[in-house]
Amino acid sequence: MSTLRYAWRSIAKHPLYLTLSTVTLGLGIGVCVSNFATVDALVLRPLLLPDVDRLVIIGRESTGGPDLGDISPADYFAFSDQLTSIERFSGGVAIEGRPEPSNPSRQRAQRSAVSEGYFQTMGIGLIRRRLFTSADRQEVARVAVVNEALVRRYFPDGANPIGQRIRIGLGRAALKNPWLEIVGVSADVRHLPADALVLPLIYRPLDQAGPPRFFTIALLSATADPFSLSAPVRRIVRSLDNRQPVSEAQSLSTVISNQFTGFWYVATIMGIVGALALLLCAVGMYSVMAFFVTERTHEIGIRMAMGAARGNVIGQVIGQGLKLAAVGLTIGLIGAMFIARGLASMLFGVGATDFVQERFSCSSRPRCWPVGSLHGALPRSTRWWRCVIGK
Amino acid sequence: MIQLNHLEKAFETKAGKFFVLRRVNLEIREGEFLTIMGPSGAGKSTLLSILGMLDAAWTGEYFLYGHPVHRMKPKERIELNKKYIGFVFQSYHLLDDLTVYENLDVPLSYRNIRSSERAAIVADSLDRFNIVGKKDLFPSQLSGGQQQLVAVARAVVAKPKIILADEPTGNLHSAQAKEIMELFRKLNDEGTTIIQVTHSEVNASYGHRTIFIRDGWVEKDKLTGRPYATAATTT
Repeated sequence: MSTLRYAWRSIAKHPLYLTLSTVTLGLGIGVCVSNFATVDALVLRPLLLPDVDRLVIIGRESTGGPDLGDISPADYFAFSDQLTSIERFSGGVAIEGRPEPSNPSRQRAQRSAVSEGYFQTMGIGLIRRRLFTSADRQEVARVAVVNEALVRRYFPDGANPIGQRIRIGLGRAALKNPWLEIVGVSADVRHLPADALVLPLIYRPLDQAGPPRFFTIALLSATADPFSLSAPVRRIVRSLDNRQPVSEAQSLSTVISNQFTGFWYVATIMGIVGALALLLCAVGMYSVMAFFVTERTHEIGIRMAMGAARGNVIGQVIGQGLKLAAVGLTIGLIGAMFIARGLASMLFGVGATDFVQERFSCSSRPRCWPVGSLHGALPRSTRWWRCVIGK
Repeated sequence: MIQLNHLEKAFETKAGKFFVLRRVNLEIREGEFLTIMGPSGAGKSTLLSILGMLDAAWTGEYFLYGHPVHRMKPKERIELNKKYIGFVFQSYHLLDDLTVYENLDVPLSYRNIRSSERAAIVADSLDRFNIVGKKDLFPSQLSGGQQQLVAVARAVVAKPKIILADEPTGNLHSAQAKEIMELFRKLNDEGTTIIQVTHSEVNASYGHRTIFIRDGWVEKDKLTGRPYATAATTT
């Protein structure tokens, strides 16, 4: 305690120097922590999709005319028999038994048409009841699976969404649309790289939603080389419709990486700035310590004459440095929290207390990253894929 | 108690080897009050630093209570210093940021003594030196004489067998100097060996024996003032 008191007295003898050094240290640490939190979120942290390196995305391009308008009903059903696909739109949503909002933008949801194996392939978890099955075809009652964000936003009173009916579209024009019974709730998925919010989302079975306007095929490979699947996929698509070119076979991590090129660049720059801030902190800390040691050379001599060993002196100097660092760290971390709070509102994955949480805890539920940006058709699994090849 | 054999200290300069101390052979007995005198730059303070084990760059032999200091590692020397030696400096060298109480606690804090025991020892010392009322004052709030009194109290707080005093009254006026010298005499009478460096003949008269150093050589060794029961010799 007396050592602490003494250290504080000797530091307090130079209030201006102390203030400047601790504020500099604090700023450095703040910038450093914020930058590394951002870099960590955008570059270093592994993608949270399961088996991301085994997922392959194969785009289908139109050779002419409107965007994939040349897909024939026969082609679609042939694809839908064999592929898992997703198509996304956005619009107003009506909930049965509740008044429609006067402003449609207040009750909006994204819509995705997906096939049975989509959730399993992408690793999107089931939260309540069930996901789609092969029984959810055109002939039976229209069903939907909604995400947690939709339940939170449109069933805030804790009402059970299972069994409730929703309709896509608002107003008179939407009256012709069928009511969809909510049969399940899935985990939230973020669709854009830096989305801070998870938007409400309604999944519909592909058979019931009609043919998609565009799609991408995603495959989950059982082997280390996911690209080994692209040739068989091309063969199958060609066998179904030889007018359909299949291109751009790439792993999901590459797709995501491409979408993140800009962010990666910014994050790298921020990382360099963060490293520089760290270096400046170290240099600053060194100069502060050097100043204090020089200032206290006389005192160190006296202490050694009084019986202080080398370790006592080193311990005292380091202790004083640590006290300074603790003050700087406190200022820096508080500053970093404020900076990160600002970043959190702009970037998904950057939390105000990331530097604490990310190191000492982990989420119990897996989160999914940009999936919605894949407008595509997804095979269910490798096992399914082998069946197709068998055909 | 202290035996120096052929002790030398030198610096390498462009002009060659410059000797600060030359072939010092000295024996100091327990309970002796020894004064070291000589002109400035003669090597008095250097000899005191070597005796206090603050200076390790010398040659020759140095035995302290039979311990061969010249063969010891720095860590062992520090232990020996802590066990036997207390220092008093000309400029007091109290730690400015510590109160009188805390200054007295410094030597004890390096000696593995429990804090409650330390508090009792410091309280005893404050009482013994009549500075209880000043225990919460900082050195800058004390007069020179009071500061040196605290410095002496600090030197003896850990009950050393030897006190090394480097011009302890150099910054004090005569009355204060007398007070400090009387204190040294008292400590010496209680059994503490005192080795002082001084320019003052009056201060030297408080001791049993004076050695004169010039240009690093021990020039003269004579008994002074008070008699000492056991004869001490230099060779």
